[in-house]
Amino acid sequence: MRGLTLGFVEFSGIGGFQESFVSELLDNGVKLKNVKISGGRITGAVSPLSYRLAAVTAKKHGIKLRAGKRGGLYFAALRYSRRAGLYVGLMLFFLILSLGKSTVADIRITGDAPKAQIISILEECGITRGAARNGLKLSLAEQKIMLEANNVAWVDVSCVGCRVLVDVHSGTPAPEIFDPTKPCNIVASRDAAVISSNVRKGKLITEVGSGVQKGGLLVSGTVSDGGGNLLYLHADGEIIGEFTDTEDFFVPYREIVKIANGEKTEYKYLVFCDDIYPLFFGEAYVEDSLYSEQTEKIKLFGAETPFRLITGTFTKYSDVDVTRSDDDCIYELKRLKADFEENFFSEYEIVSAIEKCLPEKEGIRLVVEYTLRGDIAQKQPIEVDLSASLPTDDVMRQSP
Amino acid sequence: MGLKERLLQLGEYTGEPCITLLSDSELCAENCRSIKACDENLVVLCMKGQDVRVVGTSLTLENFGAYGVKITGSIHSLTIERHGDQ
Repeated sequence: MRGLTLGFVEFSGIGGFQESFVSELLDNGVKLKNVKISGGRITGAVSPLSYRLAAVTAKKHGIKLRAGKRGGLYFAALRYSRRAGLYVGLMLFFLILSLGKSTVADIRITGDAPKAQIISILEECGITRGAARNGLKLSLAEQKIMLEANNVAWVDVSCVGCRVLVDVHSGTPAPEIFDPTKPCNIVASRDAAVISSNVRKGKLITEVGSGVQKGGLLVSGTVSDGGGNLLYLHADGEIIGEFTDTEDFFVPYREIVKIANGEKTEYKYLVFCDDIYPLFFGEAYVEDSLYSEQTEKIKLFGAETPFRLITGTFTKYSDVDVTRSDDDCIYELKRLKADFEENFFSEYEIVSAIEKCLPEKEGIRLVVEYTLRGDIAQKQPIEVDLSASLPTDDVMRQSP
Repeated sequence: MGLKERLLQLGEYTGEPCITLLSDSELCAENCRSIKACDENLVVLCMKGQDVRVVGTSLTLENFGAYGVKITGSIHSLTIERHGDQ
């Protein structure tokens, strides 16, 4: 019966003051359903929890009340309340649940680190499947992974429910650095005109003002000691060169752009402490969509509860046909140019940038001729053939 | 403390009557003090300063919220009788 969530008891009564009986029940906040009075007979339904009060009130008003059909959750629970097996099963369920939550059931490793090595480190720290959750040395495991695993930049070991999550991220590989003890030359990294130089070690070969091709020798690591002997040095210094670069940008008048403004699908999760409970069935994934997440605290009568609600929203991408005017194209080209300069020319000084706008049938093309200044020095190791410096008789002795 | 006093404290009960006729078969009356008469053809609700007479056929009654009464059935007429002294 709608409105009586716990269940219902249908009643019928005869005689007495039926209107005052209904009024008193109304005054006491008793929920009544389908009350009908006809021919001196009152019928209706109340919640099983309110039936006793209804019966007492009926007696007070001189009504002979009889309970009729009954049903709902209350009576279903009452029917099973004497079944001991249910209690045992319930206790077992909670026991298994608590046992399951008190031990580690699964170890999940994410990131780009060698998994075998991480697992062996975790085992050393006592983090294995079946280990008790209370005694987990998560901080120790994090420290050990940082120290022992190869090239690890960031690690997080946490225990969520009965699962240990290990998130390991490798560091960016270090750039190749020449051994400062090994001899090397400095060559040009690109075609340029040399503007200035600052040589700390080695001999400057190219004069300031002269042009140099890519790979051309700028500073030599092979110098003479003045006594007829050659010394091989690790050449070091900065050579500032000026060079040109032409870049081409194009923005069409019409273009199909993917914009996340389509259908929204929300997935909600309930969070209690470290545990996350999905409030949906199936997998939370929508293809070709943008994902965003929002977390809010759950409040009860204005007070904060330990529960949080995460709402993950997938917004479908839709294809939007964009039509641009000339001004829009120019604005977009300027933006592309600015982004390009920030991404690729941030380490150079832009001396000049000559822009040429070329209107085409499909859109507008922007050709920019850059004149740039920057360090063009590139170290190149000197391959020294030591056998060539050996005395002739030694070489003879080695040969068969 | 009765339900009315508790609701008054919470500010949920104003005592002002409010009658909403949802259709010719459903009427909601809020802040109903008592039921003066009730049978399948006539329901008289006592509200603050007025009595509401609902005439119809197969009238049934149920309550919702606090002091809210819903009358369902085939409603033929609705009469509001103001008390002379208020």
